[in-house]
Amino acid sequence: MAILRAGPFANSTDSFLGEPVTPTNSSALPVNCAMNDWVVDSWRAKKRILYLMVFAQDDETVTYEDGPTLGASFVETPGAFLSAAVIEFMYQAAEDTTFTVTYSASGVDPQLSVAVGGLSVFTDSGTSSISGTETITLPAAIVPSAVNVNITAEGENDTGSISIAP
Amino acid sequence: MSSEEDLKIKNADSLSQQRATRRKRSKLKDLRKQEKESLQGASSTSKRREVKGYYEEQRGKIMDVSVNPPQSENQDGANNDTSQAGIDDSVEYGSSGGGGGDTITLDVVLSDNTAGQAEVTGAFL
Repeated sequence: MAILRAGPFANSTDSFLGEPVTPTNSSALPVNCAMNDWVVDSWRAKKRILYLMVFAQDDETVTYEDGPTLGASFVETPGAFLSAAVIEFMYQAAEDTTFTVTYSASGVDPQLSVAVGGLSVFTDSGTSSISGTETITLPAAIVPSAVNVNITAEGENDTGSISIAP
Repeated sequence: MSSEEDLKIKNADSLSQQRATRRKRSKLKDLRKQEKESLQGASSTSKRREVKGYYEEQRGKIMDVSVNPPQSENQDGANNDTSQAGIDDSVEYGSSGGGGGDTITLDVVLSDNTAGQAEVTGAFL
C-alpha cells in the first residue's frame, strides 16, 4: 500500500511543515522516502556541527544537505570543551529498511548514539577512542519518524566523524 | 417519415457518434502515452509542470472539438450497453484529467519504499 507523502518538513507534532527559513532555531526535519529520493526532491538531512566553548561563544553550524550518503565531522578546536556532529532526518517507509552508520572519534570520553523514533537503538562509548560500523533498522512508518545520529567527545584535542549510507 | 426510416437515421447517427468517440478515445490514449514519456524525460519540477500544462491544453482541445455526449442516443437506441454508451467515456475523461475536474499529482512512498506519484482528478472545493 502506498503512503501519502508528508512534509516536506515535520516535527514531533506536525507532519506537514514547510522548510524553515533558518534551520538553526527550528526543530523541523526534512521528511524522506525511506532511504530514497522523492520523484522530484532529493533525500535530505539536517547536519549540525557544534563546539561548546569554555569562554567564547558556542559555535554551531546547521545546514540541510542531500543524501542519503552523508557525513559530518568535528575537528580539534582550541577552547572547546565538547564537540558534536549530528545528522538528523525523518522518514516514511512502507516496509522496514536499513542504513549503516560508520563512525570514529578520539578525545576524552567519545560517545556515539543513534535514536529512531525517539528511542535509543545503538550506542558506543570509550575513554579515548571509538570506531565501528553498525546497521540500523528503520521500522515501517506512515507518520514521519525521526532519526538522530550523533557523536560527541570532550576536550579541545578531539576529533570525530559519522557517515550514513543506505 | 416512417418509423423504419427514423430508426435507420437514428442508427446511422449513433454509429457516427461511436466512431467519433473511438477516435477521441484513441487520441486521448496517444496523448497520455506521449505525456508519460515526456514526464519521464523532464528533469525538474518546472519542466514537469510545463509538460503537464501542455498536455492538459491538448486534451482540452480534443474534448472541445469532439465531445458532444451521445448519451441519449446511445441509451435510447440499439447500442445502449455500457461498453458503447457514454458511461465509458466519462470514466475515460476522468482518468485522463480533462474536463472532469482538476488533476493534482501527489508524492507517495510505494510498497517497496521507492518514491512514486499518484494523480487525483476531481473537484477540489
